[in-house]
Amino acid sequence: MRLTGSKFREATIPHAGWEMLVMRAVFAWLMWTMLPGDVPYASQPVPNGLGWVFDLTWLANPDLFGLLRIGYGVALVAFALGVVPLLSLGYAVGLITAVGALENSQGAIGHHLQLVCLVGAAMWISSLVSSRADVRQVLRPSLATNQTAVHWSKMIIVASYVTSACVKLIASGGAWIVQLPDISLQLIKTHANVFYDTLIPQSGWAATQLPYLIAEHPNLTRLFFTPGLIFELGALAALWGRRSALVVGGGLLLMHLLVRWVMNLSFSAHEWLLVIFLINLPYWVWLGLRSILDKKSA
Amino acid sequence: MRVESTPTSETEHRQQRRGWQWLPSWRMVGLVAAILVIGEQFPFSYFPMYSSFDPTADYYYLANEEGEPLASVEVVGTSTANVKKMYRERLRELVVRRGAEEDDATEQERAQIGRETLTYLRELGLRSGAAVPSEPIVLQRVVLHRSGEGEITRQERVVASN
Repeated sequence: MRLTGSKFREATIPHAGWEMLVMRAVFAWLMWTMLPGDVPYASQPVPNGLGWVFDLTWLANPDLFGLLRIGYGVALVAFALGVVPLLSLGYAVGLITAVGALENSQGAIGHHLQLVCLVGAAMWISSLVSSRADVRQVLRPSLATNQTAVHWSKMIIVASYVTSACVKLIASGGAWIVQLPDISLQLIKTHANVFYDTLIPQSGWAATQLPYLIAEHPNLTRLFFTPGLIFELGALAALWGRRSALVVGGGLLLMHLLVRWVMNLSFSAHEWLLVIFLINLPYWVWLGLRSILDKKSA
Repeated sequence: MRVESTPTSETEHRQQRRGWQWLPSWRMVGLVAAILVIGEQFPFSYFPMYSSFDPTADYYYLANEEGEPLASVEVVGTSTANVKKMYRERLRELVVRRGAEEDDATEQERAQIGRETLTYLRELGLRSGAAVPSEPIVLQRVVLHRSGEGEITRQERVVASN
């Protein structure tokens, strides 16, 4: 027998219903944590994305936003249970995307919300396509429809990492690895940013000594940081099957954890998306348990 | 490890392509191309963080008139990273009008945009429930440089006060 992903081509993994229930539940929880408690932005000084099209400042009304937030919670519970994703997920993705667009229309583009919104949108569009083909899918999508939605989610995650790798090669003129030792300045900068955000001293080794070590040892720096670029470029392999998704997801997660440690910079939403859709730990735990039980019964 | 499976649970709906199967599908290529073309327009992003490195970098922080740093999140309700982005975006918008680039901005232009950014940050801080000081806030810029020998130097200057 072969495990899924034994061939080097893109495949929609036939995830079990319980796997996708866990995926949706954790993703819904992630979406819940990403929506702020209030929106302080009463203007759109530098419109961005949806901010070009819509005036989203009405979200700054605390009473209205409070109601919308309650609806968001209800919608996410319904989505996690797989009920009417066209409405439940559609509402949740619409709200968080609107908030993100307003937040990014202040002249400071952050990158913590985009991938969550895009993954949600990919799942929603997948549901829409399925519903158009079969109206019965609207209320409660079939197993195959959910599998397709999960695959689309993986595609958008993979595409984002590959794009990020392409941008590194384009923006640096192909010299990203050559330029890497100058990341030492970025380390000093990010640790300084954290200090000036809170005035809590950054006294760890990564903040006080590592930047200077990196500046003085360029090849050592390249050795540690280059695998991150390779994993981003090779993220396409995550679509081949479960094992390759585990390896790519694990590698990218390791990259984020390394960045978190050395730069004091976290991309927690990205980390969770890798854990949910690529690493998919519950499946491997189930497989391990089943393997143990099979051996015992044999 | 051997894993038993039923045909339905293990069957994969693979794309029927011959040869070069490991290459990305056209829809994946299209997706990457679309994200690159659309760029930084929310909710799209090509995630350009740390896509290139220079031997010079800068960061900004807030201080009081005596030069003592202020905790940005506490006094204006947002991070110093955001303060820098907000300031630079506004500076870029100003200098682009005369066909220049950010690096060509004059001290007067930097001070003007610095004051405008601080005004905006005060308003944002008040709406966020931050402890905005009544005394002037100073925007400080720190420029870092790495020499060819790996030595790192640091220069600091006042951008604006408001």
